[in-house]
Amino acid sequence: MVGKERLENVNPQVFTKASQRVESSTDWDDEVYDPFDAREVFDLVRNIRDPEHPLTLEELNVVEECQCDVNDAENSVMLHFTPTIPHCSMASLIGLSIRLKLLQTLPTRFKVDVRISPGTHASEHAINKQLNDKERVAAALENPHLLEVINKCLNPRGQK
Amino acid sequence: MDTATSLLNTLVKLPNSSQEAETLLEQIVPRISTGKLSLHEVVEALGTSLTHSNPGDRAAGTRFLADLLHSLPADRLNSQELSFLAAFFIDRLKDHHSVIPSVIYAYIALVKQKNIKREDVISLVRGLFREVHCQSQIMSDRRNIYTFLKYCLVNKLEDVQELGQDFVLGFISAMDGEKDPRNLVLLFTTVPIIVKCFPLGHFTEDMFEVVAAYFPIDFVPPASDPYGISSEDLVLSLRCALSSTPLFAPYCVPLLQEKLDSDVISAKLDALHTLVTCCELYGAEDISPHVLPLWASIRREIVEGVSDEVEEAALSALTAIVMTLQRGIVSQASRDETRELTNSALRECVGHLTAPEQRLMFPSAHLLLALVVAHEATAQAVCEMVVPLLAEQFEAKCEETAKKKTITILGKFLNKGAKFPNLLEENGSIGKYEISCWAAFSRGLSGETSSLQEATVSALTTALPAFKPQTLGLVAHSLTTLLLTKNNDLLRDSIMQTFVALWNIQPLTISDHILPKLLVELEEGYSTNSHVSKSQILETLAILTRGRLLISCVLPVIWGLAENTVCVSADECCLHLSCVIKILKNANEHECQTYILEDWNGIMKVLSLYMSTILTSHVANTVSVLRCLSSVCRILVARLSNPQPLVESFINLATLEGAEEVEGPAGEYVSKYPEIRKLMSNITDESHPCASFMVYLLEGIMMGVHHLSDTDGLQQLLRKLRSLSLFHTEVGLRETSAILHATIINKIPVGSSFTQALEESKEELNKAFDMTHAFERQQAALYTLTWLCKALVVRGAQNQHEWTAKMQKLLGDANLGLEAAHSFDVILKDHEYALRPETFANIRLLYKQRYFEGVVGPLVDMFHQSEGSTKHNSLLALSSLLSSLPYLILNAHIEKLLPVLLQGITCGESALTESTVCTLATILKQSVLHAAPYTSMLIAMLVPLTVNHPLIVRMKALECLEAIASLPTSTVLPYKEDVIRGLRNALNDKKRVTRKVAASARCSWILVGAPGSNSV
Repeated sequence: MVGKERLENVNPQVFTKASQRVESSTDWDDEVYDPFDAREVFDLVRNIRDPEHPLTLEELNVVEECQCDVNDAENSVMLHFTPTIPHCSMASLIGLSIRLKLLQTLPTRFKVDVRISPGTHASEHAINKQLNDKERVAAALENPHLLEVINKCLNPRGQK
Repeated sequence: MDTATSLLNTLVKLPNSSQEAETLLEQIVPRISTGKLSLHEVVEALGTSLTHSNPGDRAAGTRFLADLLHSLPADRLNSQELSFLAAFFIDRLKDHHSVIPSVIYAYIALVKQKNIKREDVISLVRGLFREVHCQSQIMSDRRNIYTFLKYCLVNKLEDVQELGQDFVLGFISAMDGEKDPRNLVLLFTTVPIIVKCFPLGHFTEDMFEVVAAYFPIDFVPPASDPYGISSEDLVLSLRCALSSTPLFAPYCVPLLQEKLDSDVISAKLDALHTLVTCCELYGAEDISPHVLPLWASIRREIVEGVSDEVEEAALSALTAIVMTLQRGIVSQASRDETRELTNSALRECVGHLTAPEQRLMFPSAHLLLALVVAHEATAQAVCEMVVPLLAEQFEAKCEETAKKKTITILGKFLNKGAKFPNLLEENGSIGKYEISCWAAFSRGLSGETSSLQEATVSALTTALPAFKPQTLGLVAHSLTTLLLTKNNDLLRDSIMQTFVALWNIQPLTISDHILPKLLVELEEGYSTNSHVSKSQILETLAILTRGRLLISCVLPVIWGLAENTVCVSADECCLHLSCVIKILKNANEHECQTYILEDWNGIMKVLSLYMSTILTSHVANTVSVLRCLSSVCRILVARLSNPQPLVESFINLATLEGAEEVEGPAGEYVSKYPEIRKLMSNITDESHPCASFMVYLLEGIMMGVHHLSDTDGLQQLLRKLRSLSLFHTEVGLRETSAILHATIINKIPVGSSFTQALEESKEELNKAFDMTHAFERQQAALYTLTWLCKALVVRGAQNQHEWTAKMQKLLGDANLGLEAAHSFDVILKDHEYALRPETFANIRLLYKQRYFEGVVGPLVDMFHQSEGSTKHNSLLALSSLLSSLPYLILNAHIEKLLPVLLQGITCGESALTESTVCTLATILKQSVLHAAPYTSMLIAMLVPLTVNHPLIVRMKALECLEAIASLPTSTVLPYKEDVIRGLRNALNDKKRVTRKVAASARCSWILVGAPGSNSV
């Protein structure tokens, strides 16, 4: 009973994980340039953990490979994520985690957009605005408590 | 007598310095022990200091007396003397506070005396409780008090038991407020004794409170840990104290529940573990009032899934609670309680079981499984409901994930439920549904996707114990069909696991249902059926064929196939022979061995096939067949109870000059195959091309022998082998001869023949290294030398250094240097079979460590002192050694090695940089802590390597950096910003593989010292 008070969505649907990326023949050829693609960006964010469940965003279907749009030549990355329920209060926290992870792991030349998939959350516009406002993101990441929660989601060592 | 009087006189003016007091004590003790001085006289002489007006002097006097008592033998004092002393010391307790520590110390000496009377012990304890306020004393005196009390409890239990509750009260007040961990460990181990032997009465709660105040333990030992008390010592001893009696239950369980509901993970864990320990002692009536609240807390832990460890502990606590409820004679009340718990669990969990696509499916299943494990009654109730539900659900659901999860969980329930034979009965809650369960599994096996089939097979493996033999036959039948019709490696692996599990449960199923089908498939089917290759069937057979019965069915068939294919294709033949090798390796039971060696006559079979292969030499690639046969022979000889005669007669055969009679077992073989004799004696003769092939047979026979004795033949054989290994034209034959030569050298006992063999080898090798020879000849010599060194290193021979030094000298050789560097790899790397325990090599313990210790210094020196290719070679030799060394030994040398490796990185030669950075990555991943002192140097060197270098160098450098990030935060924090900035370019690397490592390395560094990273 206590569990239900703490968690908003105690029993979400669990999805199977994608298999490892299939290596191509040129992967180990130092002469060939590998462009950034959707799968690579998906691989960066798929193992972020959900703030309230011992599950990854991939297992909860919050992020999907088909929702990542990458254009290497134009230096742009657009990522849509889907909260598990329309009223999920964790949506902005999840968005912030994704944003921070991409900030840390993508080269600076990329312009990154993180958005909620259209029509999947009640306060979609507000959160989108918040996530793509550089100053508000920077201010949020200065808050040590918030950063602690986000780092717990990002920490690969904490994963089961 | 004079000396005694003078001693007593000195006593009157008791010296102040403790050293003088000690010498005085040493003089007095023997006199008292022998009766020359009486205790009375000593006490009287001490009188002045014992009654001195200055408390300091009184303390010194008392201390002296206490020391004296401690030095006396335990039976020296009689009961009157002891009564007198006891009364005296009890009275002293009223004295000045500075005297009391000595009195307490004397207490311990008194109670250790054998003749002390019961009343005296009691009055000592009473006096102590009445006069001394324990917590006002310093730590060591408190420890003495506790030691005294514990000594009384352990050795004078009956005496102090008379004190009854007074003792309990006294103990509680002495313990109350104790803070020192050393004393606490002592006290926690004392509590269970008191609880067991004294009536606690109305002090039960007080006793519990005084102990429970420390729960849960939150103790971090001081940095240097001078007293060796770990947090775990405290936790475990406190757990013993808390769980020492069921009387604590009314107070203890609510406390544990409260801690379980807190947010601190360590407190939760400790509470759960303590609950499990308590349950072992508690009865049903102790736990039953708390069952439902505990269930709620345990359920919450599982549902929230905060940590794996807590989940596991919570499940075992649930099991322990049910076991307690059902222990002993079960009352109606506890039966009701169990039923209520089970019903409540079923009510909450079954709903989740029916929604397998959601997260709570597994946690709920685990809760129910914990109930199944606990007791037959709960297992019956849970399985009754869950098993048919899951079997039905498998049919009903269409989504693949849901089906997979359902079948996995069904397998687990069947596995745990099968623990109780009653459940498997005709009307038991599993037996009833056996048919529908098997129907579900069978549907899964014929499922649409291979991943569903895999999940079904592995679930089936766990479910096997629940099935009756009849059904197991069906299982075997379906799985064999599946194995033969699907070509999928993962699926085949899991089917093999099921077969092995099946063999353990019901071996007959294998021989009745599986083997015949496979053998038929092998003999005729493989040409028509393309789904599964011959090698796969052979592999399956090799794994399944265990036990005499199965071996006698399978082995002759496969051997027959090998004999038939030898004239057609060597590869085919090798395939069959390697199956034979696997079967033989698995046959460890005595009766299998007798079958193989006697009934089947293995060695004769090998010999006949060997001879026919050599003599009908039109087959291409004969060598591979001969090598396989050599392996078979090696295994067979190793299984012989007494291989000595066979081996010796073969040595004779190989060294025969004339036409003497062949003795021993070999004679039997020679009479059957007369060609053996000619071939063996011409083994080094190049004009007989087949003769040298006999080396493989010799290898097979000689490897399997335990030890060799000195014979003339042995030296001759060694000479022949050396000439083969140095001069023969074929590389494979040269190498085999060198290995066999080394194996023999390794097994010869120390003595004249060992020395002679080494002398001769040295001479011949020196000649062979002569520069005028062709390069190939020198290579052959190097190979022989390397293996000879290995043989000596493995047995830890006295003169090994002489030989290894020779190898090291070769590193500077212009021709052979590079080869020599690579051959260092051979010395430490384990060979497939040669010089290994399974071929009975003479192995010295820790030889790798010893060898490395000896060679690392000279190699490092060589690296520092030399130039050019020699420098390169010595570094290469070092890194070849590192890869096959246990990493613990590396730690000891890491200080010496790291500077060398760092120089290797910066030397500018790309090949060397690459190999060094790879070695460095391996070392750092295994034991990064030892690199801590070099952090700054390492980081400065590695960061530039992450860009503008070859792909491998970039990747390995990034891996090194990631490993370094796991060092303690205080060590790496100063470099954090530099590394994060330095790695930014690597994120934009042109290769995706490198970018992946770069991203993960950079994230690790960002988390260094960041909030929420739980780094140390």
